[in-house]
Amino acid sequence: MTRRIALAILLTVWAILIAGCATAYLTMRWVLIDQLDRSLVAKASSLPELARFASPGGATAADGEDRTPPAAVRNPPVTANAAAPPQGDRYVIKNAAGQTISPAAGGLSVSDVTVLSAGFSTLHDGTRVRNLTLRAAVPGPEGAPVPVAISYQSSATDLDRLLDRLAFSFSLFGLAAGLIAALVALKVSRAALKPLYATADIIGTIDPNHLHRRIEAAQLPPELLPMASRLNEMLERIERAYTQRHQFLADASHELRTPVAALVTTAEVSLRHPRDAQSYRATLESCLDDARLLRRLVERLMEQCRADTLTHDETPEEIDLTPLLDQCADQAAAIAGERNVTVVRQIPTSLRVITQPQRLRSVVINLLANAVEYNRPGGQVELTAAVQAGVLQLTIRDTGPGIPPEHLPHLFEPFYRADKARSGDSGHLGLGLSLVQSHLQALRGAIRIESTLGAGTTFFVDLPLAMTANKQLAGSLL
Amino acid sequence: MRILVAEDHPSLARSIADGLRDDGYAVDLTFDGNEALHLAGSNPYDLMILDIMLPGRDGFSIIQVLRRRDVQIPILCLTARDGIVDRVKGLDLGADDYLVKPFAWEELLARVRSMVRRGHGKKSATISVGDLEIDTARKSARRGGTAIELSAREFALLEYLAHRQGQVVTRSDIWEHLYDQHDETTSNVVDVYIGYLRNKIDKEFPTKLIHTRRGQGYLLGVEG
Repeated sequence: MTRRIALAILLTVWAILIAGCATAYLTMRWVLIDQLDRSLVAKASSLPELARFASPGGATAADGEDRTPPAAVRNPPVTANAAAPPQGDRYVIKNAAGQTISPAAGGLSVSDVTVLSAGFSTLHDGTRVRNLTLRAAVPGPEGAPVPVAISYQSSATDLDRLLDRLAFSFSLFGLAAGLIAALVALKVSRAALKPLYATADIIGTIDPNHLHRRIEAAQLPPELLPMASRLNEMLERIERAYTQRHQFLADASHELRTPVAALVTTAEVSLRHPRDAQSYRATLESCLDDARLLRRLVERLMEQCRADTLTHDETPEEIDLTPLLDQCADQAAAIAGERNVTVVRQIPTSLRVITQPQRLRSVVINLLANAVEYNRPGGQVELTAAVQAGVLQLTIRDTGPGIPPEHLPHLFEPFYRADKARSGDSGHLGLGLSLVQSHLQALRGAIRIESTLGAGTTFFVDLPLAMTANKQLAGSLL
Repeated sequence: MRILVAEDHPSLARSIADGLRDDGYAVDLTFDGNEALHLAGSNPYDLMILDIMLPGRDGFSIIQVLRRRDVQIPILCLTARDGIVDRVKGLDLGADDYLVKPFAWEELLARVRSMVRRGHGKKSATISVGDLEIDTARKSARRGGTAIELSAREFALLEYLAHRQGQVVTRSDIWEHLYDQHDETTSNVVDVYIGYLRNKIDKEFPTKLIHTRRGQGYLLGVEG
């Protein structure tokens, strides 16, 4: 992360520097060449030969050179005059008109100097030179301006050396500045990412034994706060789920301990002394009772685990709920008969829903079994089903002793038993309602209890008519 | 030695009671917390085996109430929870020991023996009365190097007398410690067992160890 930031900054800085340096270099080059050209123009304008246009003698000389340019190519004489061309400069002066011009009074003044072309070229000996072609007007003998063409060539070595140095310094500067920028970027981004690394360290230490740890949002930069709080929320959820799981496991092992202890103790006590056949038979029967209780407990635990973990095990399907509810009621009626409890039902003749039938069956059977179990002899269990406002409402009502209000909030906790009597004999494992709750969560349903002491308890189950997102199908059912 | 077993899982409770009776203990059994509290408060038990999760009233509350009433009965907790918090809570409230379910029967017996012993102020498993040696761990007795065959009930009587050697123990005291609440015998049965014990311990020896204090009870000791 830091390296990529540094690299990006390095490349950006370099791009900016290259563009800046290139612009500066090109501008400098343009300015320098312009300056050179100006000085060359000035030199060309003050060439001593130009004066000859004004002298009669010069006219003859110029005459013969008229249409064969270059008219004059010679080395100018060395002179102390600043305007005089320096050694090595070469020039050609061409007379376009071919007239003899006499110098004007007051001396020679070259006017209307125009640069026709400018360029660089390389001589045979390898020196680079600057070539200027000028058009100028020189006062003729009659005072009228005489146009002349001057080709002026001067060495560009000084300029080139200057430009080379410029390019070198700019490159060096750009390189160095880019590297420094990258280093600074590296440092800065490292410093900026430090809290992120610290956070990563904290996250790295979170394991099942340290699920209570949270990311310290206070030391994080504001940009990272949403991420930190989301992570903390996630940890919160995981911790809660983990604690629930842990509690369930602890409760489950606790529930298993007593029947196991009974099984082992019964067998150990029985085997300590020789006994008669009837005594051994009694021992075996007692062991079998406990083994059956253990089996029921294990089955229930596995059912609970399946209900909790596999939320997508069963694909929702469209079914008629009426036969399913009838079957459940029949099953409940079979147990109810033994206890002199009657099961009555009010179910529509047809009730089409989209649901997970196995889960729904488990919900109804468990609630009915509960209603039968906790009923009084001669009591009644009532199962009703109805659709109201697009919601399937199931009601399971019993005429049992009712549940004291202090137990109501805990009824759906695994292994919770309102009567606190764990009597394994009666098969109250405290897992039925917890299982119902797990199923209803998967079915996207809800459950509510109303209980009156001495009168009975009613469980209200609300379920969506269609638990899929298929609105068309859902709509057709409404 | 009489023990109260308070455990609500029926088969476990019955097995513990049966096993203890096999070893000569008199056992009262209850499945309910409130009944356990009532029994513990109204009978002279040598030990109480108490399940923590009882219907009616839980084990912690029973220990608390008994200790508040200064009932000094030794209490062995049975718990299905192996969490440190649960164990410490029971001990802090005044339980003497605990055992986590499921337990080995031999371990339960060993703890019962040691707690009964300590309840009577003895640390060693062997008690000597003159040349009579009583091994409470092996449930055996020897006198002058000769092993004495005793039934479980006879040994229980001897052990009880030995725990209180040199003291006069009333017949009803003995009866209450050797017979459970459902026993239909009367305290006269004690006289019968004293007779059996005299036959086996004193008959062939010149020095008598079991003495009768007329109108008061019995005494085990070298000097009457």
